[in-house]
Amino acid sequence: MDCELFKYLWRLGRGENHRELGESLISMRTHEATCQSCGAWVASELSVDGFLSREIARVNIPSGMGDRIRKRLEFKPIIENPGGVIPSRPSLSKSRLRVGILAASLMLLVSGGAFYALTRPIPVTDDSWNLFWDDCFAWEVSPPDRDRVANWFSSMGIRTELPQDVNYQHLVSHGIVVWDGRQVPQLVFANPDSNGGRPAIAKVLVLSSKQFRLESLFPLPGGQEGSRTRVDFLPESNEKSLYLVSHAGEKIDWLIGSAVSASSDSR
Amino acid sequence: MAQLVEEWIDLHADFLFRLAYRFCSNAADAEDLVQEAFLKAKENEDRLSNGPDEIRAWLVRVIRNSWLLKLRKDKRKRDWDPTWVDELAQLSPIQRDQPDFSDIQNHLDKMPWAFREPLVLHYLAEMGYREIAKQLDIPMGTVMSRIARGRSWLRTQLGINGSD
Repeated sequence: MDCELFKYLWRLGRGENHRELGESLISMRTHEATCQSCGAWVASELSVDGFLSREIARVNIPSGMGDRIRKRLEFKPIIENPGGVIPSRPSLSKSRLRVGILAASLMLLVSGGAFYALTRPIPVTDDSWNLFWDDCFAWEVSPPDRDRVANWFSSMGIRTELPQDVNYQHLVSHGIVVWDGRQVPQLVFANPDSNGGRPAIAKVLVLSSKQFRLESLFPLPGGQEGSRTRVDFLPESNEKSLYLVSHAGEKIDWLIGSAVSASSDSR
Repeated sequence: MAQLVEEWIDLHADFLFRLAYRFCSNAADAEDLVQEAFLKAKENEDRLSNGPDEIRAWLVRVIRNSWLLKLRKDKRKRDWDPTWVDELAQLSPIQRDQPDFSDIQNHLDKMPWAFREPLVLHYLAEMGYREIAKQLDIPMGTVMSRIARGRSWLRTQLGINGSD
C-alpha cells in the first residue's frame, strides 16, 4: 500500500471509525506502523481532530439549566387539549379581515333585501282599486279646481304658483314631468268642442324662477317642420313663474277665455 | 415527571446545549431549543422506548429541526455559497498566522450552514459520515466533502499547521 492510498483510505474511514474498511484495515495498520511519514501524519490528524472536538465541545453550561428544564416540563397548561393540536390564534390582520368580510356580507344582504322589498312586484289591492274609482268618479262629477290641483302638488312636495286665468273646467290631467333634472308641474287641458270638431289639447308647464333662469328661454323656439304644434307662454306669466303652453291649434282662446293668445307676440 | 425524561435530562441536557449553542451562537436560544426538545420528548415518551443512543439521535434531530424552523422564520439562514472556500486565498498572511483559540464559535459563525452543520455533528455529536448523511438526508460523499472542506478552513483560520 502506498502512502497516497493509505491517506485516502484513512480519510475515508475517519468518519466511520474505520468500521467498514475490512481487510484494508490490516494493510493500513501495517503501513502506518512501517511508514514513519504516514505514522506522523496520522498522529497529526488525530491531534487536529482531538483539538477540534475539544474546542467545539468547550461550551459553558449555564448553571441551573437542568432545574429550569424540569420546571418547564412540570408546567401544565390550564386548557387541556386532548387532541394534541393547539389551534393557532388568528392574527390581528386575519381577524380584521374576517370582521370586514362579515360586515360587507351583512351590508350586501341588508341592502339587497331592502332593494328587493322596495322594487318587487306587489298585488293590486282592493284599496287601490277603490281609490282609483273614487278619483275617476270625483273627476267626472267635479273636475278639480286650481286650489285642489295646487294642494295635490303641495302634497307631492312641489311648491308652485299655478296659473289663475285658465279654464280649469277643461283640465283633464295634471302631474309632474322632469325638465333638465328638475321636477316641473304639468297641466293638460282638452276641449272637445274646439278646433273644428277635433279635440284641442294644450299642455302647460309651470317653470319657476327658483328652478330655472327664465330669461334663458327666450326667444321661444319655432315649431318643428311638418308639425302643427306651437309653443307659447300664457299672458299672465311673470318674472317668478313662466307658464309655457304647447298646443296644436291656432288659438288658445278656449283655454284662457276671451284673452288674446300670446303666441303671435312671442315670435 | 416521568422517570425516563428525568434520566434523559441527566444524560443529554449538557450535550444538547453544546450542540444547540454551536448551531445558534446564543446561550438563551440554545437553552430554549433544549427545553423544547425535552418538552417534545415528554410528549412522546411512550413512543420513545429505545436505548440511550437512539434517544440522543432523536433529540439531536429535534434540536436541528427546531433550529432550522427558527432560521426559516427569522430568515437568518446563510445561503449556500460555493465560492466560500476561496476566501482562503484572500486571507492575508497576518490573518493566517494569528491563531485564535479563544472562541471557535466566531469561526463557526462565519462558516456557511451547509458546512457547519455536518462539522458540528461530526466533532461534537461524534456522529459518523453515514449517520450524518441519514440525519441530513444528503449523500455520504457530500458529507465527507463538506466536513473535509470545513475542517480545512477551520484549521487555516485557527492557524493549525499540518497537511490535509
